[in-house]
Amino acid sequence: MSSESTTTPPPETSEEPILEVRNLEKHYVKSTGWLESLFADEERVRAVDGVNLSIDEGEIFSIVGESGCGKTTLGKTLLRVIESTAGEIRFKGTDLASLSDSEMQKMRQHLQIVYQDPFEALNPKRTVRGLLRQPMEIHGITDETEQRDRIYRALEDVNLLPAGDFLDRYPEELSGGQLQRVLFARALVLDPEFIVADEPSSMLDASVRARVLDLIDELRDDRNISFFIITHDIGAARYLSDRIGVMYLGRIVEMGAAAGIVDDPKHPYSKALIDSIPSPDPREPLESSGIGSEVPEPVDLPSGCRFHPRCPVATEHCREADPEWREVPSADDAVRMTECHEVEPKQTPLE
Amino acid sequence: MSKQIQERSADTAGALLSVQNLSTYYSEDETDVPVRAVDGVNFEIARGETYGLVGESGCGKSTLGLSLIRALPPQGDIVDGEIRFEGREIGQLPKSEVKDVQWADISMIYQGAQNAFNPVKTVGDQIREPLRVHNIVPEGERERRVRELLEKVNLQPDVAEQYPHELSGGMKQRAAIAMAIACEPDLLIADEPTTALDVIVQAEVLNMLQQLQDDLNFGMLVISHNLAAIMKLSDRIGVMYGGKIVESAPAETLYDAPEHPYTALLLQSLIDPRRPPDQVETIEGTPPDLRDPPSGCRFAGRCPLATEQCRDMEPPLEVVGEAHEAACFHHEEVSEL
Ligand SMILES: Nc1ncnc2c1ncn2[C@@H]1O[C@H](COP(=O)(O)OP(=O)(O)OP(=O)(O)O)[C@@H](O)[C@H]1O
Ligand SMILES: Nc1ncnc2c1ncn2[C@@H]1O[C@H](COP(=O)(O)OP(=O)(O)O)[C@@H](O)[C@H]1O
Ligand code: SF4
Ligand code: SF4
Ligand SMILES: [Mg+2]
Ligand SMILES: [Mg+2]
Repeated sequence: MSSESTTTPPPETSEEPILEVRNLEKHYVKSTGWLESLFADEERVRAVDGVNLSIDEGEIFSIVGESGCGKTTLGKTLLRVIESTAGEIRFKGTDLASLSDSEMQKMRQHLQIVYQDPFEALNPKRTVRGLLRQPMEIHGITDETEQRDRIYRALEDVNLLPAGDFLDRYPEELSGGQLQRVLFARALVLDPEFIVADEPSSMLDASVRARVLDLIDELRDDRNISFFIITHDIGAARYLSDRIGVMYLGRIVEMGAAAGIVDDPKHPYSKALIDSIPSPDPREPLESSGIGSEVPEPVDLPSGCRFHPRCPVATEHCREADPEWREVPSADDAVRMTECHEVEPKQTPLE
Repeated sequence: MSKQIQERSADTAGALLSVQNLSTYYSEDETDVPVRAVDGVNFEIARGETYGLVGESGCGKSTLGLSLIRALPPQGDIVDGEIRFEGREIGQLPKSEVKDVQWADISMIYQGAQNAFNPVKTVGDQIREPLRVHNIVPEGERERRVRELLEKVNLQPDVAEQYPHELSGGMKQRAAIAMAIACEPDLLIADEPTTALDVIVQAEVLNMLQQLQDDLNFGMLVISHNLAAIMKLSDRIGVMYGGKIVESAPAETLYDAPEHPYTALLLQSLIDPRRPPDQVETIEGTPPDLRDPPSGCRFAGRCPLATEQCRDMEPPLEVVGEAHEAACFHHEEVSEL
């Protein structure tokens, strides 16, 4: 397994990556009925199954893939919202697993997560003010003026204006897109260094979406926040990120510069995913991806390449041998990594 | 003006749903300044027609949908206007009669429907509920009907015995669709049916809605931020801004030649992976405060074409082309944006 820190263009400052992940795994043991368990081994759901990744300071990295491929689990595992079953996560060099609960709790101020579903994630009994104040209380920011300033700034950042108008509203008094932005503001009040945002723009219309994505870009520039964005919106990922990782059944199967991945995907799964994005022209019919829409559950994974049952170009070899994660040539100059037997590896020039 | 009204009443005659001057406000109590979430909206939907509704987050789309099916939260009230469904006024129906309309005549897939399922009841029990309330299918046959419905939305019949948390987002959304069509409504309102679903599942859900509509011939109001999806699915599209419908036209017309500046800018803000990011334009400024909307055109504060007139007077929704209406004093100039 090659070191991915070499896969990004060297950052201007030669600092270490803000987040580094090695062989990260999150397996769930599926609860089976006692009768079934007599006859079968316990089933393992390999939600995240060997992820390697490194994110530079100030980088925006997006992970894309179908629902159920493990994106949310990966995001939560990165910040120890759920515990991994194997692997290593380093934030600015510190191994997060080595931290005690109280140390981790302190660390959380710098590591924020914006959950996928605002309808689920926001306590309906608190007003927007209460919702935004809560994380500050937890992290000991109790000065009222300070709290107020942070709340206003965060609401302005997410374009909920006039901010004062939203403070006393309860979640049910907000529209879906407004809720989603409250959730985002909640992460911002703590002034974090790293944000995992799970589908941050799914409920926003085109114009607000573009603005929220611009906001993320501004936050990166102004506050030097690094982002791990989880999205099925490949357009947004391309618009926003420096690099994109494509995830399939618990693994990153392709990774490279954002534009490169979208314009010239190498892995058959990336291709299918990108082909299925509808164009806005009403005359063009809705395309189907050609690979069906059923993501198999990551239990009983097939041997060989885990994409082979759906892959349009699979060969006999794919059914038997695991493809290797390796660098492949790409039209852009950026480093492109993928795991597929059918993509020729990059030739290392002889010295 | 009179031409407009004539044309409207002409095609209203055969409409499945006809909404005139509808206004829905939210307020805590009488002293509260109301949020004018829907403010004087007119439109029609014909039987078998798909009407798409797009617009900036918070502009009143869900409120409009909830008004039609009379499922507003306690703070929300229809304060003015008419909702005619198959000729019958339903906007002012007393609560006791509203139940007859919900599910059986009009049903809705709510925004966030995936979470609307009761976590401790099986999917089958929940789909059975509207069947029971409306007593459409005799009790002994409901089981079979539930299975049939699940099959219609490409779910295995045994999903009926599963609990919501056992299903993926896409499956839950399909189950929500099965529930919405259980009583064979004449109008289906789908609020953000594809958000939170990945592109592949999105395409599948949309195709499914289209197919169900072909089979069952219901009228459909689809609310979505997914412009690409809405363009393909809809016969006509209404664009909402600040509580009003500011433009309405057949999908192709709207895509090719929008006549309202907001629509034009919305299309330019579309992030399409095939377009380089630097061609994406965002709309500056913020939407109007619906507690205190500006007196003239509600888009004036953000509109590149705004003039004095726009700030003083409210532009009426006018016919600007075939089946095409827009509310803009300077609609002829929009093509230059
Ligand atoms: N119960 C309520 N009390 C007060 N205001 C409300 C209530 N529900 C919604 N609103 C307000 O009404 C306006 C319209 O909300 P609505 O949910 O209809 O928007 P929407 O167009 O569906 O937005 P989105 O696309 O983000 O879902 C918003 O400004 C919202 O904050
Ligand atoms: N708590 C859990 N117990 C068992 N399986 C889970 C749990 N959470 C997620 N999974 C499974 O892990 C896989 C990945 O899920 P998730 O991370 O939510 O995917 P995504 O965010 O890409 O849609 C799915 O097969 C899902 O069913
Ligand atoms: S390794 Fe084989 S099955 Fe896997 S993606 Fe490549 S071609 Fe398809
Ligand atoms: S009426 Fe005036 S302000 Fe309103 S959209 Fe048209 S040009 Fe812009
Ligand atoms: Mg997810
Ligand atoms: Mg809504």
